[in-house]
Amino acid sequence: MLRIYIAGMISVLSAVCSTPALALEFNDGKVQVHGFASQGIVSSTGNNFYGDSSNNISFDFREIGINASYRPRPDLQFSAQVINLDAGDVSENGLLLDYALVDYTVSSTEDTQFGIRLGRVKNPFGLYTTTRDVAFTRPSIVLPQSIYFDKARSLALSSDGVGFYLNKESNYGGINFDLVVGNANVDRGSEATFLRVDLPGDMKSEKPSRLMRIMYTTPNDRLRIAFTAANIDLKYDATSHEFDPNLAVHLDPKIISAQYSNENWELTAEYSQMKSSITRSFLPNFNNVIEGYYVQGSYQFTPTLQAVVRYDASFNNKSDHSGKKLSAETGLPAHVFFAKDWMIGLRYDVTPTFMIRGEWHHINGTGWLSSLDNNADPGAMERRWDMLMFMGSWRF
Amino acid sequence: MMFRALALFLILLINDSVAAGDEDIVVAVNQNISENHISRSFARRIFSMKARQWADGSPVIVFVLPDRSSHHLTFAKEILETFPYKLRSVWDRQVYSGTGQAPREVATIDQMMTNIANTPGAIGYLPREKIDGIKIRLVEVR
Repeated sequence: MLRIYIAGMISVLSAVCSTPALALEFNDGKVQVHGFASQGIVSSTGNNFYGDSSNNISFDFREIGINASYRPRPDLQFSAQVINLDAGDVSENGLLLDYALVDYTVSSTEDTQFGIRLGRVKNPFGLYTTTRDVAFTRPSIVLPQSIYFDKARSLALSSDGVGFYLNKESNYGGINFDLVVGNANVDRGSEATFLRVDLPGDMKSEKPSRLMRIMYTTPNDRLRIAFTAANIDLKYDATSHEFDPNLAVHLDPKIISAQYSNENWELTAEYSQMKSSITRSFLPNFNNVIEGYYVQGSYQFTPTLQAVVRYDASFNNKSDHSGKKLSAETGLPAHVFFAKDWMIGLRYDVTPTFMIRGEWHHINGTGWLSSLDNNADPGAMERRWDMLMFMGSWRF
Repeated sequence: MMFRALALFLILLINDSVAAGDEDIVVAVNQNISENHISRSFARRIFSMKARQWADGSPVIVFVLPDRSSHHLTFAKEILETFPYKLRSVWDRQVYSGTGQAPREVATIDQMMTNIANTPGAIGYLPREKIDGIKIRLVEVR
């Protein structure tokens, strides 16, 4: 199996390195086709992340996508992207429609732009969500899990509905405002995250979720700061009477983001709080504030070699960082309620369209591990664990 | 041997960082564009692929050189006052979220000249001496 993979990767690699073109263009560039393909390798101690990685090597980490856009007029664009993700047992199988939308710029002047998007729209959640599946746009192989949890990746990813955007530029800097209203898409991973099990029924959007992000960029383009806030209402659609028909989850995440970029280095930090309330009929209602933050620095040694360091911390309960209170209430080990992750990584751009990455994580806590990837018994998880990852990624 | 390899590596490193040409790079447009000057913020919005039409409503067609070209580096730093990797991340965020398109990439200065000269609405950048004032006009950024 391993041999087939390596042979496959080598043949893909050699094909890739001989094609410098960045995109396919048709109709004088009005139609563009872009895509990406990434393969990751994960090995960890104690716990599983992205497949069967514990004391083993998992290849269950693949992201493939292709998109097309058509801009018949300067104020109108149609675009769609399909993706195929393999992320251990957390991911859904098959092709997913990542987005499919029409974007109409209602008004555009030299310094202001206002428009509307209809269809399946990506949620502008923090700095990285809109393109989180494209390895080239991430700062590392995996995003900081405190804010961009992979175990519930679909939740914040896209909405079926409408989006509005307003961009304004002045001598004092630029303001970008986004508002998205629509039904959030929920996958098995998100369901397992909030219910701790993947029940036979489905989690569905109860009513349209609301998300807004406001971003300010300084006139010299060095500093970006942003604030994101959302309201998401989910309902459990029970398929059998054994399960609670009135189960509902309300989430209201807020994120503050800041990024300072220089020629050779970049500093990024984000802080988030998410109030989560679970309403149920057979058990008391459950309210909780999830907290997370990370600080990340990257340095470009040469135009093709970059290093990144990050500290990423997440806590299931803002006022119970050690997890002891939640542990006493639930009987689960305290370490499932937090995770503190030190990461160091390297990125090497072999060509402008192909890059390889490696990174090492040293983690205290199992807060962002999915019950789908790991044994149903959380007591079997190890509190302190390490993870080594490699990834090859190609795009056009 | 080890030392020599390291020394070579360092020399390459230093060369890379000073490779950005001292040439005078200017913003160039097709002769059908009437603007003589544009603001820096408008230039930034154009090359970020956010401003998509000229004052008369006609489409803006953006041409760029590869990210690693020294002309692109000079253009990004001196005219837009940003960096190639920042431009690339702005394009990527739009291309992979369905909210915009990428600029059209050309491989050489000669291709840049041909494309600007023959595409109505085109904008790009060139060394000052390549501007003929007939098919390719200069636009001042201020």
